[in-house]
Amino acid sequence: MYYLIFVTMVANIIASVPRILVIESNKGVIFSMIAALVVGVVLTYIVIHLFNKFSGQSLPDILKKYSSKWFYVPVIIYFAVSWFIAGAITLVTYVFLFTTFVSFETSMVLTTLAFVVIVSFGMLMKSESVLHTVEIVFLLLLLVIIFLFVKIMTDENLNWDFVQVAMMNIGTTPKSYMSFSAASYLFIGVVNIVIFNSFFKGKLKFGLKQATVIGTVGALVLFITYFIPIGFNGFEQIEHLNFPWVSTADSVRMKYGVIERVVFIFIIIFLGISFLSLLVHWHVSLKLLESIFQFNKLKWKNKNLSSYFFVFLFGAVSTFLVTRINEFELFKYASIFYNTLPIFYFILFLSLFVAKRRAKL
Amino acid sequence: MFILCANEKPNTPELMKEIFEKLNRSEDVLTIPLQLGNNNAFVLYLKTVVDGIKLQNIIIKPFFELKSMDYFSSYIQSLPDIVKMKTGEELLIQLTKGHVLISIQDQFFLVDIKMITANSPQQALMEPTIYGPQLALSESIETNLNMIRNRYAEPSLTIENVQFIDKTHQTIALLYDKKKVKQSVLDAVRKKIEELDKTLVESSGDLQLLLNSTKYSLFPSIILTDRPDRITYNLANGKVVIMMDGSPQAIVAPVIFFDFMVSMEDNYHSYWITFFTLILRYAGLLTCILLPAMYVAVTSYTPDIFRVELALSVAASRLGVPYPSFIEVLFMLLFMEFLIESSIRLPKAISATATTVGGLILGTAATEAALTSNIMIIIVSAVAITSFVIPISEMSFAIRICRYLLLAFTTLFGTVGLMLGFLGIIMFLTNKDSFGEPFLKINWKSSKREKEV
Repeated sequence: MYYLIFVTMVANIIASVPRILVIESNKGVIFSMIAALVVGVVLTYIVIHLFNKFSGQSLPDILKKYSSKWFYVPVIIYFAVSWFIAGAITLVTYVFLFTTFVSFETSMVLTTLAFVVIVSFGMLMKSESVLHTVEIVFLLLLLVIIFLFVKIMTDENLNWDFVQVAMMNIGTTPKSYMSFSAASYLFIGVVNIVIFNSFFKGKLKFGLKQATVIGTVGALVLFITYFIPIGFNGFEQIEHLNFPWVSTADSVRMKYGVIERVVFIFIIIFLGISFLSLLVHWHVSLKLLESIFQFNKLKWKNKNLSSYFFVFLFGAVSTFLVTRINEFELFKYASIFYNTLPIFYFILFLSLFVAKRRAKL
Repeated sequence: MFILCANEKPNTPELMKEIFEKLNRSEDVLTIPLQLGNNNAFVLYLKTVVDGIKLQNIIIKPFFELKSMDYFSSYIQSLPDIVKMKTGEELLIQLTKGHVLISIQDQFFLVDIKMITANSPQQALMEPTIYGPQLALSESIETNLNMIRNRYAEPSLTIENVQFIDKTHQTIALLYDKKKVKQSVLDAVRKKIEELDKTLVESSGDLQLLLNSTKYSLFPSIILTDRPDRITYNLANGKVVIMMDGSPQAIVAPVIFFDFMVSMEDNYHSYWITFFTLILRYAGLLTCILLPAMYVAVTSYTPDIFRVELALSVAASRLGVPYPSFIEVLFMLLFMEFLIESSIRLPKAISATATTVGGLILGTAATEAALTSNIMIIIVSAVAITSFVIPISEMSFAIRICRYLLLAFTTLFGTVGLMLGFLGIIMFLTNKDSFGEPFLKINWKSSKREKEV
């Protein structure tokens, strides 16, 4: 479970979250970040608490049992689409990043296809296997991530004065809703429980200890996301960078390494992380769609092809998106998506409360 | 004492006559009437599979020494080798396996007097170790079961015989520790064995393929081993061992990926040595899978990843090579595979020549002819060596094939393809299961079991 939360947290470092934060840096970002941290932990607590009531059941199971069709079909479709968009944002961001920083000769469609091919296989796996994959890959990458962060933070080019300048803004009254929603997006990982709940036997513990762990890691990640790029690039100039974090990684060199520029390790590692995040999001989305749509017409050799159909659809839509969107639009749409997060939580809680009421738990 | 041929004796019991007919009057089917005064008995057996001396000692001699038929009958019934009387088809199978049918005053007994020729344990060939037991299983299931019982003297060890329905009618024994085994796994294994319908299963190697869950599988979901210490270790960890008569290998199920990376010798070394060799093996595994594909990614797609000096030296060594890097890699890897494949089958004296010619001469000549770069030669030899680091050969074969898949994916998609392809392999492994147990998974709770065999 914690892997899911942490993967989403770390994955957002390369996504649009730092950029949004940095752009809004004059409007009391620090306060919104602290608020997002508190809200994020509280929301995580509520979600886990609610799902504990229905241990061993996924959201579609619960809704199908306790609510009527006109209610659960739109809700699940809404969730599925949200998850698909979340995955697509990660994918498109990464593809942009990769073509900008590593290989601009390779066409974007080709890079996207490479992702889509592998992710399609991953989406069709059993949910349990998805969890195992996330666990293994995340642990493999974790060491390198920690190494990278330590390396970057101890770099001599990191100017703590800039960080202090940024800190000074703590008193600014928050005016930015956008930065709050972007920062709280870091904590969205927990809602993947809607599908994976069926694999957690027994109750998930979420006491003070777990809350502290998630809070600390969240705070650390937020701190790294926001302050380190500022420390490297300066409080004033940072607004002009499209990918503040990658540019930051690019300013660090390893004197004795086989790979001299840290940015390549960074990008390769984050390929793994964004892949995991993509995998989890789209897998959840697929499972949600599967739970309501089973096309009986799409049958071939006794196999229902609906899931293959959805996988194909996902791939096609994201390839289309990659060719159409530019970086500015991506950023715009991503922030709109982050801004809708409260609605997302609201619907999730509403549906769970309804189910709970009906189930009389 | 006189021995007559069956068809000359008029009062042979009906059942024996019938059996004799059913066995097609084969030359080696003998029906021997035993007669002493008023007492008589009949013995029916197949001469080619029954131990003649043993038969003489434990059945024929006592007949003439014991006073009455009742004595003889109770003597037979108390023989240690007596088995339950079978009927019909099963009886015929038992007879062809070396059982003797005895008839005493309308009573029939079946005694197992098998002649076993290949019952001496062999040298451990599949996974030789320096420390640890040197002898492996033998070709006879009795000896093997005896070896395992001796090594694993736990009362909870259960042996279950399964009769296999095919032409060889081999005995298959299912071994497990009743206390430790996971019931779901045991049921899955049993079901799988019962479901098999193949006309001829020759050895456990054959059986292992049949037990594999999918028809076209790449990674083995079962370990084949000839080491008794590995078997007992696995039994102690709650796994199911399948043994087949006539084959010196046992099947261990279910297995997970980490099982394939551990050699039996790891249990006989001190902690840090084991730790070091394990790290070495995983490093070898990664090198073996990633290196060829990485070469393609780095030379053809993103040479700027490496520091400038290294990138330049790689590029310089590729100066004269006329084709893209993936052809170069494929070409060299194929040559290496040819070399491995040919030297496996050759007798020892010739295989040295093959490796010398292939390895030394071809390597130097290929670079001088500018067909490959020097660095490619280093990579190929590194890959060749590391593919033998994996202790279980089936796994190392699977990894060798994976390498080509990754190479293809990298050639198509570049550096992203390399990483994603690797993640894809991990996903493929996690999605696989061996008798209901996930194949690749990090097991936190039982770190001792995690070490596996």
